[in-house]
Amino acid sequence: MNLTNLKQFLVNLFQRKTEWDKLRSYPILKDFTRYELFLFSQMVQERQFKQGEIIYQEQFPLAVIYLIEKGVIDISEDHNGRQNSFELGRHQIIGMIDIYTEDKRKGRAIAKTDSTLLAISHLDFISFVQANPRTGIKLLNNVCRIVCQFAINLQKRQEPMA
Amino acid sequence: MKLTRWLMYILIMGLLIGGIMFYSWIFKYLITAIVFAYIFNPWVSWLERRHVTRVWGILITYMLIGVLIAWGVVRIIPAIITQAESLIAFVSSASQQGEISLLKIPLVQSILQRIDYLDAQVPILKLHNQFLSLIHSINNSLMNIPSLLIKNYGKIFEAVSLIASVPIIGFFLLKDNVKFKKAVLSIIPNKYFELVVIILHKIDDVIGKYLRAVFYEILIVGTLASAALTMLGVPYSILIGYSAGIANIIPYFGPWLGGFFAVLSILIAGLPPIMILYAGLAMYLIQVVDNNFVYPMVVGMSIEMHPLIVLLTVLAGGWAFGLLGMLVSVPVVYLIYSVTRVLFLNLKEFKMI
Repeated sequence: MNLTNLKQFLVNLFQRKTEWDKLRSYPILKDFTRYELFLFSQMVQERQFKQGEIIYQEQFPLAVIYLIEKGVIDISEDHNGRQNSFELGRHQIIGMIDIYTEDKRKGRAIAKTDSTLLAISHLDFISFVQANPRTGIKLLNNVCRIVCQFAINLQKRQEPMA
Repeated sequence: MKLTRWLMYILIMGLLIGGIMFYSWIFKYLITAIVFAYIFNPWVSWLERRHVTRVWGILITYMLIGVLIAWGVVRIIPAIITQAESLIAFVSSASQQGEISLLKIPLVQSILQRIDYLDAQVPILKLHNQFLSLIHSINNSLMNIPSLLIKNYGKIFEAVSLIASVPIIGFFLLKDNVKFKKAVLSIIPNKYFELVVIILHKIDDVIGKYLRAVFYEILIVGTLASAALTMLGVPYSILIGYSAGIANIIPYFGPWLGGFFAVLSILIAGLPPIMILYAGLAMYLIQVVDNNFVYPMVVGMSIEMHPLIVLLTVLAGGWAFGLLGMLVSVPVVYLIYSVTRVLFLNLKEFKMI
């Protein structure tokens, strides 16, 4: 056991796990300090959805981003008359990219199983980034990384088809 | 099952009505504390973002306010009290001596001389008596001011108790504002959650911005006007300066009121008429600074109300609640209008109406 491990052991032993510690499991918040997580947690609202319950409808204003804490969410979008449907699961985020591109919902979201979502107001999210520039940069960096990874995966999937 | 549910609703309604009746007397305190919390929340949040916990942030904010108040008590309030006492003494002497006191004012004397000259030229006019009756009616109005102050001592004591309790209630509102917001949102059904999130955020934004703007404007415009009028040697400068700051709450007409107080003070003191021009210029410059620097900096938004509606609102406020009504009516009407607008637009967007 080296010194770093010992330090981590002592930190884990004496540091009280708080409700906001669970937020670190989300890729966009993974390198946040405890205090940054605490600040972020102030705008998080936990919501429970029953199986089959509608989370939002198409064309509703884009008011809230959801972090999926538990359950599976079915998203269906209409692209030029063709229905696209996909599922999102634990620690994935609903509406992250849309807040930069849309002001209305492109599709609708329904809880496929009983789900727990962490809701963050879109306006609170923007205010948080503006009010905490350093943390905001971290956050936006992580968002960029996720979006780039998504684009790369999409390209890889399309290449064999071509 | 249905009966049980209805009984539950009735019980909850009863509890709510009972609670409202029981706590109704503190609504005024609560609303003032909410205004207080809205004004100082950005200070506490700013400190919180710099790793100062909310409790310490509130205590530091209170200490800063305490220091500012202490400085005001030592430096500004004695001057305001002296000026107010001098003004009350003047008004009291006017009420005791009738129109003779007002006739001592140089400007009034010169007007009377001209009227006498006109009467001598055209005896049929008889302006002298009409002018004296006008002075008499002004005096009657002035005579009521000291008695009004005496009659309102009860209200002054109430104001003192309000000032004492607001920081205590404000402490908890500032400390637990996030908890209160989360508690409110937690009882909203999922169907209305997003709508309520937007509405709460926008209402919070509009009210917060507006209250902070009013507070900082009163402070900045009041201080600037006091300083400018003191430099010019206008009597009751600090009293008039801060009155001008408070009057500034009324859009369009408030700034004119401030100028009017200054001109009235110069006329009463019998200072040279050129001072009116200087005071007017100073008040105009303060308005330029306010409109171009202070207002955009502290709020970045404006009251979008037609001047006629503002005028009618001020008149209606004055008619219903006196001077306080004149000051508060426009902000209250604006806030109600903004909240209703936000509510209507969002209900429409969420296809609920």
